[in-house]
Amino acid sequence: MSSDDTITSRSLLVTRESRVPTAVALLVTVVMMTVTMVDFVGDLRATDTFTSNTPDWNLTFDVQNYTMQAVETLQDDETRNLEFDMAEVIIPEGYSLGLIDVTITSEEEEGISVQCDSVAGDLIENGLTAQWNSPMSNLSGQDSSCQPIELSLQVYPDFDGRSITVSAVNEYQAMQHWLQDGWGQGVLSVDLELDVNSPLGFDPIGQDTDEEITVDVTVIMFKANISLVE
Amino acid sequence: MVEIESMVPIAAVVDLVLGIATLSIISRSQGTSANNRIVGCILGWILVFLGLSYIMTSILEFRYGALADFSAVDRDKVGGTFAFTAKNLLLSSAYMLMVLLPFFFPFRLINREWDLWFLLAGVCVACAVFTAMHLMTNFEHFQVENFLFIPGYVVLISMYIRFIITEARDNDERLRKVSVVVGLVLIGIHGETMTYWLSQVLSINDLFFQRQSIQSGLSISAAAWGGINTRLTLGATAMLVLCAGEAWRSFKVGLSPFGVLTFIIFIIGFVAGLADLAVLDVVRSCYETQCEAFPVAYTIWYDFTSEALVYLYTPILFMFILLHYDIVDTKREENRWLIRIIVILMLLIVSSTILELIQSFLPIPDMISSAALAIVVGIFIGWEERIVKSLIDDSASIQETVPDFALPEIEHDFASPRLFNLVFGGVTAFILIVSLLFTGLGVLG
Repeated sequence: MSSDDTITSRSLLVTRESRVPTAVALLVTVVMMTVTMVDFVGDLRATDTFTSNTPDWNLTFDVQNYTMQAVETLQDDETRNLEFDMAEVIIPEGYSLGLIDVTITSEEEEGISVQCDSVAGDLIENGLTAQWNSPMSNLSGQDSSCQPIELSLQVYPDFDGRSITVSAVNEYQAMQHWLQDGWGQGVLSVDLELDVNSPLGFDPIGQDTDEEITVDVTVIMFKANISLVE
Repeated sequence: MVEIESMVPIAAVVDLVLGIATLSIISRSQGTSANNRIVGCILGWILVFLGLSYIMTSILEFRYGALADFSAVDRDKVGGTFAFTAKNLLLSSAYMLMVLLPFFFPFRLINREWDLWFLLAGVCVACAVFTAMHLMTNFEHFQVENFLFIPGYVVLISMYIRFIITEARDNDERLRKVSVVVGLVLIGIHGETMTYWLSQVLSINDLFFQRQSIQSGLSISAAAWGGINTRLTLGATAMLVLCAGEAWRSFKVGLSPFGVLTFIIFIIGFVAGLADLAVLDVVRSCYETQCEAFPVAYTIWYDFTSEALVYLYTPILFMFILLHYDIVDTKREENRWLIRIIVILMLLIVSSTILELIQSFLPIPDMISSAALAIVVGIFIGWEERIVKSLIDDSASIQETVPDFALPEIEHDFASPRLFNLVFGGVTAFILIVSLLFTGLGVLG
């Protein structure tokens, strides 16, 4: 047994030579445990807050518009289809396509009377990726009182331009709904229909047979901004 | 290619087979010393508790699909079920035995008349206390029992350093057997956390537990997280001590198989640490954005290292300790056939599992893997006698190897396997009944 004279439980664990390395090993253990424990406690608190609270986030939208216009002259009883390619829209970095507003304006300037013509406009559902069935979308309109017809198509789900408050565990998840790609791709198809009206149906020289119709398409683009509701 | 499947059911079978076989051999070995009977029963029951716990984990996995990353159980899915409750309580009991093992093996340190009663009563009391606490707190503080590993860790580390230094000083090769077995016990207890040593040194393991808390409802309790961190730190420092010790010994005396094993685990931990650093974005995604899945390569790495070490190699390691350190009576002819069956069975189960794991990422046709398995079977059958002989013939208990270091043995007549089986069998029955009762009463969940 060499220099170890009598064996006790203590002498099985430490000898004079092993005392220092053992103390160093245990010291390293204590130091590492302390350092990592501080990290663990820090993350414990953050995780506790994360899992126990679902904070509210305020989402506001920066909005930019892009307009396109088409002026068409329609004959009486004519139906014409106009197409606006959304690929032409210049979308700034970070923005998404939110809404499309269409204004159809007719100008009654011919004929001897000021009787308004009857104009109808429809947004035709096609491959354009948008919320065609949303209650916010107004796809058809008609007017015979010289007032503009306002049509709209909600492109991005749930976007109406107004700021909203959402509950989410972190900023990413709160923003996630507003970072989708692919909405607003395709061609906007607008059908126009004209029915010329004469006063009491009387237009002896057949002068009032057509109408100039202006279609203004306003593409509303948005970028979501987020802030924590304190 | 086959789908990656959990190793938990394999581990359950392996642990249970080995545990029951150990207890069976111990029961039939009349001539074994009291100390070996106690150690054999502790090891046997550790394996039985682990095996039963793994069975519950398998139920959670296959019935509820609740196994998340790193073999963690998704508490949101199965919290309050019988299998979840029993799994945790059985694991807790296995921990208690692991906590007390260093005081009985390789040396019986307390060496008093009452130490056996301390062991039995300690496990029963701890089991009752932790069961009550976990049930009352809905497992909020599960893993707090990891703090109890500290005394055993101090004992094992001190003993390892003491014997490796004395061996080199006195040039006494007999003492190597002690430092090796201490190292093996350290690997057996802290093996998994040893493979995370670099991550713990870099203090990034906390981020993984943060992810688990968010993803699978891991308890947010200071006691639980403190326990987890304690276990991780003990594993990391144990690895560093073993590596430093083996490097020093290799320089002084020469490289040994245990040194090679230590360096392999050290390198695995190093690579695992780098891999953990590489996936930190994925780990943090649960907190910062939304949970992303780990890359397949990372999962495969984890399966082959940490998970395989826990589920496949730890039982083999315990088997090696049981046989090579003569804890079970390997010399008796009637025990030999059972030992042979256990050795071959375990090696084959592990080999086939490893083959399946390899198939999970290499496009090897089934025919080739079957042929490979046949080759492995052939080798094991052909070398069966040699393998078993090399394990058994060189076997010697610590008391036989270094009698001058053995404390005078206290012979307990009552330290019979029957007593252990009665007490720990009672603990098992208590856990199962309590789990069933509390789940049925709807107290949990």
